[in-house]
Amino acid sequence: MRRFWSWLKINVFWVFDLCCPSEKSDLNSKDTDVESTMSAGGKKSTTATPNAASLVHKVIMVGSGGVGKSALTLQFMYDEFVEEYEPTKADSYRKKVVLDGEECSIDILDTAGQEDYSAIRDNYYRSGEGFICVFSITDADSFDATNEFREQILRVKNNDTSVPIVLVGNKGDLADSRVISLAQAQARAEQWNAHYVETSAKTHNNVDRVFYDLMREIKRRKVGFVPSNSTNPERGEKKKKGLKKACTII
Amino acid sequence: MTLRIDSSTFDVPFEWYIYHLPPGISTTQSDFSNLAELLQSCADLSRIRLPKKFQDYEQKAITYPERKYIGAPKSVLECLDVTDYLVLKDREAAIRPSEIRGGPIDALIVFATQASGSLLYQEAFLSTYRTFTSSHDLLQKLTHRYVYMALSSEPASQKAARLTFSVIVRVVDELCTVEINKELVAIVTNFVYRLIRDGNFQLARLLRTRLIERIESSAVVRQPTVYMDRLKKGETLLDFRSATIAQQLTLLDQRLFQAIEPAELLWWAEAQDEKRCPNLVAFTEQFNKMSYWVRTVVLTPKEHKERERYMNKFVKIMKQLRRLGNFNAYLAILSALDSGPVRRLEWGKMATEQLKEHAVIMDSSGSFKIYRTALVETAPPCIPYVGLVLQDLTFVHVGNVNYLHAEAVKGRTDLLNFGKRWQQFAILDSIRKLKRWNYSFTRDDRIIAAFKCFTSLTEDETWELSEMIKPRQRRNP
Ligand SMILES: Nc1nc2c(ncn2[C@@H]2O[C@H](COP(=O)(O)OP(=O)(O)O)[C@@H](O)[C@H]2O)c(=O)[nH]1
Ligand SMILES: [Mg+2]
Repeated sequence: MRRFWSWLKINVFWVFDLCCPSEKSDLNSKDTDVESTMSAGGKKSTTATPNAASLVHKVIMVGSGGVGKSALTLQFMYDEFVEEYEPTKADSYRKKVVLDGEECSIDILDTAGQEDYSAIRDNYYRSGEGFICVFSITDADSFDATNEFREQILRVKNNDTSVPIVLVGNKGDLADSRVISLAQAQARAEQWNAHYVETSAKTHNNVDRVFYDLMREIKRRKVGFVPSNSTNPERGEKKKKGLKKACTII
Repeated sequence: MTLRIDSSTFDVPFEWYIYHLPPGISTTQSDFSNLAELLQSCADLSRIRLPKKFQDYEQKAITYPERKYIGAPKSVLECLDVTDYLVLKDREAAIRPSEIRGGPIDALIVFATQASGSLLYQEAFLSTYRTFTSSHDLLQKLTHRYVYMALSSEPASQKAARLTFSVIVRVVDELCTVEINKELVAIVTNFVYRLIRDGNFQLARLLRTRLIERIESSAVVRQPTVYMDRLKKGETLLDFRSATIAQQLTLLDQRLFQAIEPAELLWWAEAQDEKRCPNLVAFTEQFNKMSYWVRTVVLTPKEHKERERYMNKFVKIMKQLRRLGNFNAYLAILSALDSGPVRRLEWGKMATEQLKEHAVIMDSSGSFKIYRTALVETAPPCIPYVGLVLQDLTFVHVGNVNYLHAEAVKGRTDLLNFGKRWQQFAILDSIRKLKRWNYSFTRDDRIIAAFKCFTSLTEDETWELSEMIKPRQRRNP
C-alpha cells in the first residue's frame, strides 16, 4: 500500500508538470482581432467604414454525406501538406486571404459529425453569409438533395433568393463514373441564379475558385451596397423593418 | 519542465490495482487537468527520434506460446521492452508519454503494459486503441503476452505478466456493449481456463467476475416510462417553477449522457454507424426531441397570450439550464426558441432581447470559440453539447493521417500516427472527466409527466403552424 502512495504522488507531480494551467490564457490571447469583430455582433456601425481586414466572411458547407465537404474545407484551409490538424483551435476553420487586393478572413463551418443534431441546423444556417452547396458528380442522389438544401437555406433566410450560394460538383477527377452531366448541373445553377463550379478535392482543382467566388459575392452584398430593404439580407434588427415595407408593397 | 524520473517509479501497483478496487469501476482515474500543452508538444514532426528497431511486416498467427518457445525469435509482443520500436520525440529528457509519436501497433500495445511506460500513455492507449485495432484482437494479443511472460520465472518476466494482466482487466472492464460477442467472450474464458490450469485461481476468478459484471451491466439505457396520470387535472408546465423543471430536464439528460461510452464517440466520427453507437444516438435523439417539443408547446396554443406565457417560461427554464451547466438542454431549448418558425412571430421585448443575448453561444466563428470558452468557465457538474465533440473528433479523424508519412520515417508505412490519438484522447478525456460528476436532484415524476414524453410536431408542421399564426410575406413580388 505504501508503494502505491509514493507512486501516486510521483504521478500527480509529474502530471502537473505536464499540464501547466495555461489553457485559459491561451484561449483568450489568440485571435484577439477575431474577438473584437465577434463582440461587435455584426454591427458595422462600430467601425465607421467597413474595414476590409477585419471583415470575416462566414461560409457554410452543405450537402449530402460523403460528397467531399470536409475534404474541400481542409483542402482550402491547408493547401500544403499539414502534419497535425487541431480542430479545437480558434483558427482551425479560419483563413486570412487577399481578395481583389484587400485582406479579409473566411470562417468556414462544416458541421461534419453533428449532422444528426438536426434541431440546431437552422440556427447555424441563419448565421451563414454564403453557402457552398456540394454534390458529387458520381452520385445522383446527392445532386437531387441540393434542391432540398437550398430550400432549407431559403426558408431560414426568409426566402431571400439573393443569398450567395455556389453549386459545387465535386469529385471531378472521377470522370469515368460521372452520372451528372455538366449541362444538368449548369441548368440547376442557372435556375438558382448561382455559379456552378466543378472541383476535385483530390487534385485540388478549382477548390480555391469556389471559395473566392463566394467570398466575392458575399463582400459585394456586404460592402458594395448601401443596406436597403430590397437587397440587404435580413440580418438582426433590420429584419422587421424590411418585412413591414414588403408588407405595404403587397 | 524537465523532471527526471526513474522509470521504476512508474510501476503500476499491481496488488492495489487488482484487489483494492470496487468491482466494475474502471481503474485509474487520474486527472490530466490540462492536455492542451500536451497536444502542442505533439504538433511538430520535425524533431522526432526514429525507431532503433523495426518490426517484421508479417504478422504471425497468434497462439499461446509453449515453454520450448522461449529462446526462439521473439515477436514484439514477447519483448520486455519495446521502446526501441517506437517513434519518440527527439528530446534528452526521460521518456515522457507525450513523446510517443508513433510506432507499430504491437509495440504500442506492449508499451501500454510496460512499467517504463506511464499512466498517461496507458490512458491514451486504452481510450483510443479502437481506432487502430479491435478489443477482440487486443485481448488476443494481451493474453498471448501474459502467457508468454508467465512461462518464465524471471522477476522481470513475472512483472511483465502481472502488468499485462492488469491491462487485460482494464480492457474487459471497459468493453462496450456492442463488442461483447461470442468470439470475444471465448477469448477471455479460454484465458480464464488457462489461468486455472496454471493454478492461478485468484486471477482466474477475478477476471471471470469482471467479465460477467460487464456483460450484465451492458444493457442500453432508455428513457424511463412516465405515467401521465401523475399530473393533477389541468396541471401544466406553467404550474411548476422554472428551476425545478430545469433540474428534471437535467436529470433525464444526465442518465443518457452517462450511458454514452467514449468509444461510441470515436466510432461515430469514423463511420457514423448507428448500430455501434446506441447510447450516443439516444442522446442525440433526446436533444432533437426536446427542441421540437419546445417549438410545439410554444406554437400550439390558440391565444397569443398563452403562447407568450410559454415563450417566457422557456426563456426562464433555458436560463436555469445555463446556470446548471446543462449545455445540452440549454442549446436544445435555445435552438427551439431561436428557430425559424418561433422567432418570426412577435414576442415581448424581454424575451426577444434575452434570446438575442443567449443566441451568440451558437455562433460558430473561431471554431465555436464563445461556446468553448463558456464550457471551460463552467464548474462541473455539467453536460456538454456533444454535437461539437463529434465535430471535433470527426475533423481530427479526417484531418490527420492514420500512419506517419513514409517520407518522415525512412519509408516505413506501418508506423501508426499516435499524435492523432493524443488528440482524440484529449477530447475523450474531457468527456470522461465530466461523466464523473453527477447532479444530486431527486427525480420528480409529476414534473416529468408534464413533459408529455416530449411528443411533438414535425419540423414542417411547426412551420405550417407558424404560418397560420402569421402568414408568410412574399419578398419578391
Ligand atoms: N476521388 C475523389 N474522392 C474524394 C473527393 N473529395 C472527397 N473524396 C473522398 O470522398 C469521401 C468523403 O469525403 P468527405 O470530405 O468526408 O465528405 P463529406 O461527408 O461531404 O464531408 C472521402 O473518402 C474522401 O477521400 C474528390 O474530389 N475526389
Ligand atoms: Mg464531412
